[in-house]
Amino acid sequence: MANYRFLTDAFWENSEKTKLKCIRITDLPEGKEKKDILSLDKFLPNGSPNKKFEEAVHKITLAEIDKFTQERINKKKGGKDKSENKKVIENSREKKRVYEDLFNQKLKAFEIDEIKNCENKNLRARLRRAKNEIELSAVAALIIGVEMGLLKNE
Amino acid sequence: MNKGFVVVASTKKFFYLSAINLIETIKAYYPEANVTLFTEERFLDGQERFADHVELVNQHKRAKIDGMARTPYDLTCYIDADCEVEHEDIIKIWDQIGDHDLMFTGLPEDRHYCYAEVYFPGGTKPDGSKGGFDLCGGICLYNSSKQIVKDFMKDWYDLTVKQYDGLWWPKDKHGKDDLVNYPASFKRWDQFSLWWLVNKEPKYKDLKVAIFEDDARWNFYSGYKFEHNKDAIVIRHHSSSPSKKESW
Repeated sequence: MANYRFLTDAFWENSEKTKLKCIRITDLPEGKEKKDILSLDKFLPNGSPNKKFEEAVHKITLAEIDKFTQERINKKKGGKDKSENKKVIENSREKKRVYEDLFNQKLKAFEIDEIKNCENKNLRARLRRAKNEIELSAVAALIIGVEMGLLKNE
Repeated sequence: MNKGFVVVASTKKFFYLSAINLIETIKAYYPEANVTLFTEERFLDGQERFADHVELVNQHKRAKIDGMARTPYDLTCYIDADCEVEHEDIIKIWDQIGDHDLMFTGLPEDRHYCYAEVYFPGGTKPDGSKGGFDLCGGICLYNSSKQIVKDFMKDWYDLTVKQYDGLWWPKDKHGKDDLVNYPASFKRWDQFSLWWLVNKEPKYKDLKVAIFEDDARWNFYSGYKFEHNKDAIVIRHHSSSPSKKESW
């Protein structure tokens, strides 16, 4: 009869603890080993207890299986948390970049002489409140037009 | 008690233009507001006309605290130049002070995704839990009529200048710069000198420092998620990256 043993990193595949995933190592001649990954049900299709399942649980022990199952859950959750956290940081940076770019464009507009010297509070406020670069360019052009006397200042 | 805003723009034209933008946004929502602009003479381009008063500061990265210390007001609201006001509640900012000496916005854990460094070994709390910066120096409301607050602002400025010049740093038991508890990356950061004075300086142990109610709306970083503020954003903070500021 072949000698074999179970590794302790076995885990429950369901919360009812009726499906077990484990690794069985069987000794082969000349010091070789065979590794089998087993998925064992507690009951056979005819409803009778699965002896292989009982043997594996007995040898690995319930405590070890519970412990490794929990460790596996924690590890998975940790990975998920890390990736969610990374996503939050990336979103934050992207949002910041969009606001920052528009803000910098506004400041550059206020370096243009006609805009710098413009006393029309409404137009200056429109420029400051521009929601995107197209609106910003349009209002900047309007101010320049007014300051150059090409458009009426009302 | 007279009250007003202090805005400081030094070292880069970027900050001057940002400050002008900020002042215009303050006035747009609060026309009666008094605003003093502290800036360098070389930046003046006529747009300083939007401030009620203009004072000159030297070219120093922390001229900000110099301006804060030289406030002409009894009750002062300092706002970082790269901010914008976007709500009429700015007029209510004075109500926050209560009987506190200084008010800041906070750096709670759920917003740490937005900041580079918050915790450090020297900030560890007495119960052993992680600790560090919990005040953000971007917005500060302070009762500048009190001598202790005046002293605090002056000391913050003096300590920060020494820190930036490499003349001050906490020492370890061998008398060397303690870079284990206080990372070298803080050496050019006024946030650290603020933390030191509030937490380690005996003279200021009774200073009443607090955090704004619903503080995220009073200093809303443009990278923030919209879940941190309860009411509408009053002050938005762009806090542009240093590389972008350098290009100005």
